[in-house]
Amino acid sequence: MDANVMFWLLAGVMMAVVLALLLLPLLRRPGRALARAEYDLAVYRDQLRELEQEVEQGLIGKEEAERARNAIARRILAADKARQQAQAQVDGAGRGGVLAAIGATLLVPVAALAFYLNTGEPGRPDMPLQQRLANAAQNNDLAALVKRAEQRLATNPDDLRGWLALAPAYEQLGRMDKAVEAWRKAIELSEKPDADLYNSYAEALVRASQGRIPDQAVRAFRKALDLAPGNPMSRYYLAMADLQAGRREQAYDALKKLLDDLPQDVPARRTIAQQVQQLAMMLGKAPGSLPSGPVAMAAQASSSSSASSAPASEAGAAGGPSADAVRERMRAMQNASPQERMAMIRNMVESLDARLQEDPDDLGGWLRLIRARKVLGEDDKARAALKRANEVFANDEEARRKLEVLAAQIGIAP
Amino acid sequence: MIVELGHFALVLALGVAIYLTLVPLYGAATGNVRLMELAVPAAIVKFFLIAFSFAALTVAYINSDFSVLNVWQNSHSAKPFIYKITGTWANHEGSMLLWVLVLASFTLAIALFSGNLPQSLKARVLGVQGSISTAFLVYLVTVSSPFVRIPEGRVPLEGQGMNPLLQDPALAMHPPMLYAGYVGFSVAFAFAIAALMEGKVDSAWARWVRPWTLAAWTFLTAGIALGSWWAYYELGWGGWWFWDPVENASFMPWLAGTALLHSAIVVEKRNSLKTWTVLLAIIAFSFSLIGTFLVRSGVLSSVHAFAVDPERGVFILGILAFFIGGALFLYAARAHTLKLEGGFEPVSREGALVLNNVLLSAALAAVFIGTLFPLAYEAVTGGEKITVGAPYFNLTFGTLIIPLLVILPFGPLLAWKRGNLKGTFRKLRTAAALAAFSALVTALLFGGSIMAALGVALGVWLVAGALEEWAHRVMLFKAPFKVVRNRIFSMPGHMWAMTLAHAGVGFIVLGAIISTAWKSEEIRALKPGDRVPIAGYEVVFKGEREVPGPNYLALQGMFEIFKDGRKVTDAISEKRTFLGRRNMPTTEVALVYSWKGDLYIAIGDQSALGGRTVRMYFEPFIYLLWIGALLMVFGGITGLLDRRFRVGVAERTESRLAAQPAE
Repeated sequence: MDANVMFWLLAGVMMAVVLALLLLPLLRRPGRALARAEYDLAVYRDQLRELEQEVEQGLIGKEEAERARNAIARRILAADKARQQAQAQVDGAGRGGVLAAIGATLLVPVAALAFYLNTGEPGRPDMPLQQRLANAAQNNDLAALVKRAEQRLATNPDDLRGWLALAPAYEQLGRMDKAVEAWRKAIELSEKPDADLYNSYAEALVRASQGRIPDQAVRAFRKALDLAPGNPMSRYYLAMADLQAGRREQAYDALKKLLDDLPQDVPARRTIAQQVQQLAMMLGKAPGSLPSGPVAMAAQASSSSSASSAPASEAGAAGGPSADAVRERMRAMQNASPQERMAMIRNMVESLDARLQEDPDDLGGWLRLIRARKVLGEDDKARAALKRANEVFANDEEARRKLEVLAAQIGIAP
Repeated sequence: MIVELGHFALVLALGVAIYLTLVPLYGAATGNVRLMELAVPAAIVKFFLIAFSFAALTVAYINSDFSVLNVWQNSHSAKPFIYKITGTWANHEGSMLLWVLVLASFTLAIALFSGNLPQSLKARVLGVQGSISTAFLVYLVTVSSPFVRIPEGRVPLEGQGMNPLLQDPALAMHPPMLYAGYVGFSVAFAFAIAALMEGKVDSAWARWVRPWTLAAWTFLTAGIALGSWWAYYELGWGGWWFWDPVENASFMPWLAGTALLHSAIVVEKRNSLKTWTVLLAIIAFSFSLIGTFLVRSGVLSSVHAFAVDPERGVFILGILAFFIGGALFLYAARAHTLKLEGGFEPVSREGALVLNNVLLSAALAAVFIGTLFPLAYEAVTGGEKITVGAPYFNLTFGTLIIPLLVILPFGPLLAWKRGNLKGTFRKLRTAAALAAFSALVTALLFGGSIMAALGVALGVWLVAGALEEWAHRVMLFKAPFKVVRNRIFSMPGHMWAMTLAHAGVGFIVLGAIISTAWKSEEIRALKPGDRVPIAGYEVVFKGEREVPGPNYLALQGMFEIFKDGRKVTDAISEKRTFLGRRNMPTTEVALVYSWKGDLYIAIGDQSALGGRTVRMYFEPFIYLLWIGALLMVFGGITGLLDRRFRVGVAERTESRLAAQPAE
């Protein structure tokens, strides 16, 4: 049954029960009113009885008891008189009022619906965490899949396949620090870590450092090259490291050699070729013949997809659903139409947003989010994210300055 | 979709609360029994709706349903199960839902257990309860809803964690107790308003009000004691009462409630002090509302914070203004209709109770000024902060409360209307002698100041005075054993209540004075292997280690305790850092108990000079405080069990039969 229908059915039952409980007493004949004095008399009789008990037990002095007895007796007399006077009033009570009561009863559902329709979300299902985690695969809920894998690994941290599945998922979610950690664990746990694994680890490091290639990554790429001499990805990044270190000649030679070694149908050729050409111009060398190849995606995209495909296939063979989901997403991204791709990007931005709610201490994430919002043309949301980030880093001068610079750059007022 | 159904039940409860306000009050005003009787089913329905709503929120907490904003903000999936349940009320919205649930429970109790109440009074009491309920339900539904959802697709996978300070057994139970106390006074308030409407306050009225007041007072006493105990073993400062505004917020209604409890006795027994008692009932609940407002509006942390996000604060302020202002207005307009009766002399039971009321009210005013003055000052100067600290409270509150404690044992021994001071004093000879003796012994044998010795004497005077009064009552040593035994067993509950509670006050005074005056204190930066002598013990710091808990990481400081060269025990004090709330570490104090008192060890931060800052205290006889509080609570419970609070139901008399309603 539709959740909405189900909800209104249950809410209707609840309302009906409430109305019935309020209206049914109206069918009964009203009880007879007793005058207030009757109740008072009952209390005073109790008081008198207690007083006698106290006297019996000697808890109260004779003289004091006598005074108290007189006082109570006075009250009893007064109450008795009041009772007789009250009878005339009581006779008139108990009639009518049915219409007033029905009118007031009808107020109940009206008030309830008015408030609920304003603030409630009729039929919205619950989302218990365990259930969400259990259904993560069929809902393609990547964040939940990651969480589940994390839980499994928390109890069984030596599960190599778990780490191999988790690492690319982290990359997908943009949590690069976590991805680095996961790849590192995978290398530690592998009996014989292969070149792909080292490459993936190193590349995650590069992405975690926003494109800069740290020494750790250089060491890992070298290790990969030792294990698989000639590995194009390791060679490419090592060349880039040379370039970043200012060793242009070396970078030029390495890239040129790499280009020569690559088969003609590798998509990344074009990008590399362009870099070689640029370097040649900068170094004042004669440009070599430009290799012709199929139009390729950006090197960054292709290399990252190849980086994730290697471990993903390994985990996929073992039936890890999370790796499948990641691969599925990657494939979808590549085959998507521009509109679809836009939707996916939006989706990623949203998940980044959600992640930052959970883990707000990630300044890099906030900067990415604000920029992405601006790029998507969502200025209001960019501004809102900026505001939230400023709140999170209220005590961090440095972070707030960075946020301010970014805001100025992309032209959103804080 | 239990969350949405819980939300729906809450708005439905609001509808029923409006109904409960309008119908019975209208019925009482027009003398329509049919309408008055509708208050009972409405009260029952309202209770079940709010209980369902509360259960729905609890389920969301247990299931870590982070699609509920409130759960995401205040829970964490790794929390131990018990704190998933208590987490329901360990936050603003949930605690307000608990507030209305407790209120609905009291309303239900009145509806079910008040067959002995005149219909019009009962209808009015329930109607007033309904109006309070309406105000707070509107507040919950509009600006403070616990059922707001996070948009689909953006639901986070982990919550931000519960306030770590509240992840503690005592503090988990503290809010329900406190609220049962606060809200319990709403019953006395409703009775007062109803009485003003009817223009009738008499000893019958007082007898109906007293059990509810006593129940509220007992809950509040337990709640404050739990809070104090928690502050002692969790905050790590070795104290148990800090005159903190949050503490004062609960202490003020307690003072008013204590005064009410005593003045209601005068109304019941002597049909006197009526207007004053009605005013006290209004004041007691007003301070409950103010307490709720102070703690819940954020005004305490800073007036500025309140001004930035004023929606909730202003709303509660509006509720305050309406109920307190309205009640006082009604009081001013109607109080003269309450007829006076029964004069008394100054030296009499009534006189003593009036003095009790005067001093308690003055003490209440002192606490009130000390609590609100800093807020007013900040508001007037535009942000300048001052603090009114313990010295102010100790001076003003102490000056007012000490005379009250000195005369306390006399009260129960004085006769009503006309008492005999000399005779009464003679009855307290033994207590007076014991007090004087204990002052001498403490001054000569244990050192300490004159004030401390006098304080001990005061405590002994209270405990011994309560016991001596009891001994007179049962004729201990004066009558044969059989008679005494008979008297002990037939002594009514409310008498036991008085003896227990008054003795409890004495124990609290003893615990407070001794643990403060003879406290030993060592605050050191310790390195592993360091030894610190304190109060006859030797504390050896063994080192520290990190130990993971279910949802926290504990830094444990390990100690060995020696006495006379022999090892007594190991002790561990922890600093816990919780998932999701890393900026709020908590302290777990190591406590080594003995009959002489507690050895108290709390680790602090890394010291700048190297080593770990460790605070060590020896708190002599501090447990007397907790014994005193327990005695007061037990006293309250025995009082509630007293048969006489179950007033007989009015019987239809001969003359009534002649007056059948014509229908």
